Amino acid sequence: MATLAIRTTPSLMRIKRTLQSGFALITKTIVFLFIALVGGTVSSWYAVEGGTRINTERIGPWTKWSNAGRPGADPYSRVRFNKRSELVFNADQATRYEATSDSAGRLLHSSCDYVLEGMQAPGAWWSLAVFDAAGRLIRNPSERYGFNSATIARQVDDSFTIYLARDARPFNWIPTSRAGRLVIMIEIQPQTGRETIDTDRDTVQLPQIRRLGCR
Amino acid sequence: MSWLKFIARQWRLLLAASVAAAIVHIWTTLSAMEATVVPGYRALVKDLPINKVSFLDPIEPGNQPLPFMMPDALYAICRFDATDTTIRLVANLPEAGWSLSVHAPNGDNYYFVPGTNARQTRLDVTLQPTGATFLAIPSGTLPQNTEKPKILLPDPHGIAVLRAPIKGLAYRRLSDEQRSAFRCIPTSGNSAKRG
Repeated sequence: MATLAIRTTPSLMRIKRTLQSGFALITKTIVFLFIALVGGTVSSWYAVEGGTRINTERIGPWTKWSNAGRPGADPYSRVRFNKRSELVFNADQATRYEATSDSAGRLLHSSCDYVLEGMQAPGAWWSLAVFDAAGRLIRNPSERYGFNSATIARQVDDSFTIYLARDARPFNWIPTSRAGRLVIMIEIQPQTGRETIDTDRDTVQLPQIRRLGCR
Repeated sequence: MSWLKFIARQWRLLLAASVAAAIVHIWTTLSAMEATVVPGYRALVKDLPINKVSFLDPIEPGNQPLPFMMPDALYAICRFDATDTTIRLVANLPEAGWSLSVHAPNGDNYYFVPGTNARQTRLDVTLQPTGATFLAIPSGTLPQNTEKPKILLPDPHGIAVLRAPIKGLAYRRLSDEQRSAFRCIPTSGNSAKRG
């Protein structure tokens, strides 16, 4: 019996070592593939959906894709606008800002009411519209989908208020019922030949988005 | 601590995986890029005639050719093909909010002129393909064409988009008049390319 034990132990140990090294190899391969595939794909998706500091500019809840529509735009901007099938205008000339959350960072949703408070920018044309997450306009009996600097009702000090709500509101109201997630888009065009709007982070004035309540 | 130990022991594996992740990241991003014709362009031009202006109906739910199209503007689009011709674009931009832009099939917007309140902008420009070194322009139109500003096209195909803001019923007639002045005219035929 003692002889048998002496002979079998090394072979068992060998098998154990072989199994251990095989298991370690499989584990390393899985870890490698997980990091490579998931890390690479998720980081690409994140850069395309959310942008990076290089190709986006954030002002409060508003995001501007700085290279949108530009010849020679970065790959992330191209992929983003290709995926969205959007007609993109050159970001230098028709600057688009997009908000998917309110000023407190909460995602915009049609089950909540919001108020946008802003100031008419001097020397610039702007237009604002509200879409669902897929970029569709929100059907409503009032046929109100957005405002621009000519159609907005302003206060005497050039400030304005826009309500996004299911029920009718005074002043500027855009109905948002049953749309789910919301996207607010504002486009600003500079005026050539006169003063142009400065869209630097420090000087551009974009509306604050305040949540009034949810149901 | 166990994670730190793992990282310390397996740093070669993690480094290799990170490099592989970077390669996957670049490959995923680049493979999602459609370099020639983007889906939005394809969807927009599919029913539009070539070298002719099309006036789109107002953008509203159920009539939205592309996502995220601003609904407070009326759109007029010229789908052009400048393979064998130059294209003359004529447009009036009476005030702020109006714009004329030219887009390539790959989504690039390489020409954009906004209207201004300071004066009416009357545009008369010629679109010319970059590869065309000689175009057989009919006599009589040559002197006129050479005086017009030229836009060299990176691609002979594309669209020119005129946007007219919707400001209310009182402005409707003025807006329609100015919008109908938008022209997209092939100015030469049977071109001969050299070089």
